[in-house]
Amino acid sequence: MIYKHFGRLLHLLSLLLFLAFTLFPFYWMVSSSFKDQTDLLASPPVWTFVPSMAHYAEVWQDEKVFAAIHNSLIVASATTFLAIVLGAPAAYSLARFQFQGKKDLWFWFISNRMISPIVLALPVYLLAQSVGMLDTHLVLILIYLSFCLPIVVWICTDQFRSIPPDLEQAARLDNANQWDIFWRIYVPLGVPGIAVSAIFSFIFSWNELLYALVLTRSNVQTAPVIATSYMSGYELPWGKIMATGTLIVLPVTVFALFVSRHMVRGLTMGATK
Amino acid sequence: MEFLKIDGVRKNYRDVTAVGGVSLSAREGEFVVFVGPSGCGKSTLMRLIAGLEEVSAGRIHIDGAEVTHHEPAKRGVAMVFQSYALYPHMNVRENMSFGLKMIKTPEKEIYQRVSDAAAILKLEELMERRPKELSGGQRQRVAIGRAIVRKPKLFLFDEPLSNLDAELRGEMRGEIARLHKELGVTMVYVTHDQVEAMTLADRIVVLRAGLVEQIGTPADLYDKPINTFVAGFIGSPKMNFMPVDVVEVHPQALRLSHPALGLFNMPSERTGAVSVGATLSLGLRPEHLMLSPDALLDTLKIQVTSDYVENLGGSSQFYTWAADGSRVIALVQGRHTANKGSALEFGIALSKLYLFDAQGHAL
Amino acid sequence: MWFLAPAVLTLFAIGIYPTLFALVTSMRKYNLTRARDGFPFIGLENYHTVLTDSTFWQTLWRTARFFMTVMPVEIALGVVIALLLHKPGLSFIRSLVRVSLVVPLATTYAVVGLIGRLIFNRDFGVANQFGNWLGFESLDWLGNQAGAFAAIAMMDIWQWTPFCALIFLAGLSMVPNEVEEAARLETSSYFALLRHVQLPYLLPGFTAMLILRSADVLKLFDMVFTMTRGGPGAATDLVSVYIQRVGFRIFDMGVASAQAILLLILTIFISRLFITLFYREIDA
Repeated sequence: MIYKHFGRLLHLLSLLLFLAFTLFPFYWMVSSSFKDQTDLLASPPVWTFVPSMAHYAEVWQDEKVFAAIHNSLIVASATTFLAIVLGAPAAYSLARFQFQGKKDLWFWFISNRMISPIVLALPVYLLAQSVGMLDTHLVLILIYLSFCLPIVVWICTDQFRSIPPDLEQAARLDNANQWDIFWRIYVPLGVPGIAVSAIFSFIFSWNELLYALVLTRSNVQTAPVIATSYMSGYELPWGKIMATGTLIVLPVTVFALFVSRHMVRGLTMGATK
Repeated sequence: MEFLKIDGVRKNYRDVTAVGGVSLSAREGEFVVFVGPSGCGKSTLMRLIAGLEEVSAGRIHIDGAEVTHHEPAKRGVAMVFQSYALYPHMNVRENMSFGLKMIKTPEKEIYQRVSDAAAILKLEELMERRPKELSGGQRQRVAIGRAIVRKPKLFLFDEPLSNLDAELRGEMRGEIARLHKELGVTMVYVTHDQVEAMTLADRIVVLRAGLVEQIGTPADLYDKPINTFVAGFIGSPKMNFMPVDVVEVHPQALRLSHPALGLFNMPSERTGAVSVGATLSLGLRPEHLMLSPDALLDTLKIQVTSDYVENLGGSSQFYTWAADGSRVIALVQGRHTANKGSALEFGIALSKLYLFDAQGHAL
Repeated sequence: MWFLAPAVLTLFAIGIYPTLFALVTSMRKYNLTRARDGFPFIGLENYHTVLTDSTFWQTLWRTARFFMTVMPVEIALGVVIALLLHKPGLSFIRSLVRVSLVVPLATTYAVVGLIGRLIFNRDFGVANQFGNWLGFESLDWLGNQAGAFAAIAMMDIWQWTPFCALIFLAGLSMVPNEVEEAARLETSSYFALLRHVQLPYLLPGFTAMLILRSADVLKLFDMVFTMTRGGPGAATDLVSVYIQRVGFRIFDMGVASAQAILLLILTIFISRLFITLFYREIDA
């Protein structure tokens, strides 16, 4: 009996340990953003302190941060929207229809995720430069699509495949055309998958750095780019950095926490097949 | 000697009591069947015996030793699951060897035992196959083989035949009965099918809502059910129940009345508790009802209106209504027909009648 | 058919076209800082430059070393966490942990790098504080080669272990209950159960992890960039960081394109390799 209780205690302690491990850096960032300058630079670092909003005030006054967040919002939303609008029908097609070369097409879709962004960054930079599209929202949206679209297709294909084909037969008997079937049957039933892929698309677009760094100058800097722009010089404005970081990360993290169950489903969907 | 002893065992889940104070025992070599409707706790009880779940209260003894808090692997128990639960990535031979390998049995002995079991169950041809390459019946036999190999003290079967089709089920029932005779091991078998219970059991335990209703041999349960639940559960089709009024009470008999039956006398030993005017339940088994009643003494006649007749080939099942609205179903030999609404008369021997009081207890 | 067309065309335009462009660029002399030289076609000379560039190989090797450092830890920790989350009991804490696993994954990679920079700071970073508590001396993590490498490894482990854990957890939950119970009746050894019953269900997840993570490591840029810029020296110069520098600091696009194409080939090759080596189907 004692053995059982000891086992339970061990279970609890290890879970708590991992909880701390998982949340620590995040906690450190948020708490640091509330420390005043002396506490922040204290050596060794302090764990208890009087919170101060000084850094947030600083950030608030820096209009670049807000512009950046604004840009991120635009880009992420637009990308997600387009990815769904283009990807869901494609997923439907891949899930239900048979045609030559389907397997290869699917594989090609998926493998786009594998491509290192660097590969595309260079040519896209050159292309965009020649067309004058550098430093615009559009170029970021397009390039993010190249990553988000495969994700949407991957997850939605899986989702659509699990819808019983009988439903489609029944609808056909009721004289539904292809579009009707898609819009009225597959989309409503596929909402979980569509939602998950939307979540992932949004998070990816929000977090992306490389392309944003490469393809933007001063007009369309996104949030992650701003975060890195403080990193020059010797005296780094840590407080401001942590505050900015928190502002960037917080919305997405909170969002993710709410939809965590769906995210977990999406992550593991297809990965265990 | 009590080989398996269950003493006051309870199992609670949050606010649900799955098993509420069950005590029973089984002798060595006995075939005991737990039977009852879904949710009655029979599977839970079996899992408690196996050790897959912890009891909330009570004690379990196997072969003289108390195992209430022992781990499943240490109880000397083997179990055949409803879904067979074969290890999917091992072939038949490996599946059957697994248990022995775990207790570090020497290779030679493992091989010997597995081959013996395979011979008993006619699995020799399938030893190298994986579960997904086997049919339902074959997987079943492998599951049984896996259990036999360990030479367990107690054999548990959790609704093993529910996933098989009807024909296979009959065949496997015979196999299991034969196995019991050959091995002589104590077996506990859970099912919701009373036909399996009646044919396989030495003794049956009828459960409802986590409690034992009655324990007895198949004959006991058929002839002397202690309440309407057991009476209705055992026997197929279900027993007919008709409400009868007590007109007179005599020391050795009761005079009862019912619109479809008229007035009649029924011998009974326990007339003491019955008062005039009370309503009792009369039980009639469909298979005891006869169509052309002979003018024999001790036969009760029933007037009914026919609804429809099901032709089962060699026998016919009548669905009828009595005057007071009671449903009366009769199972009669031979092929018969009747028009809807026509009047019929059945007869049943008085000795085959069952009587229950208002609470459902047998009189 | 028309359902498919828009998506395919878009991806084609955005994906294939630039890739082809990259291919072509890789075969030209394309240095933006020397535009006067024009952009002549030079065939495979860029590839030659790349393949004989010892820095490039060192970078690849470094990236491989990084992968081999973080993967075992992520997998081991991932399995442990998955097992802890799979074991019944303590359901509130378990749900809490499961939900919190999402946090590292959603966190902007660039910000992860920033946090890492603060944590591993010599003077006011917690890493040294922890070290001191355990009796170690303070290190200048980001100032020395081994330290920086370890630091980025630790941040990567922090970010991706939860992903590993979630994948393995999904695998574990595919084990049919009754099979687990059948095994419990045959052995009381926790490890035997793990090895014979649960492991086969973890294998597909393991393969998926290898493929996804190897692709990710080759792509890894954000976190390293913000944390160390690839330094000190070249200690944390991973492949993507290096190529970005060649392309956008040195502006030698031709060479960078060649590097990128080679990287692409490598990625495809590795994923194919892992699939053939490790993938085993689970039969129900």
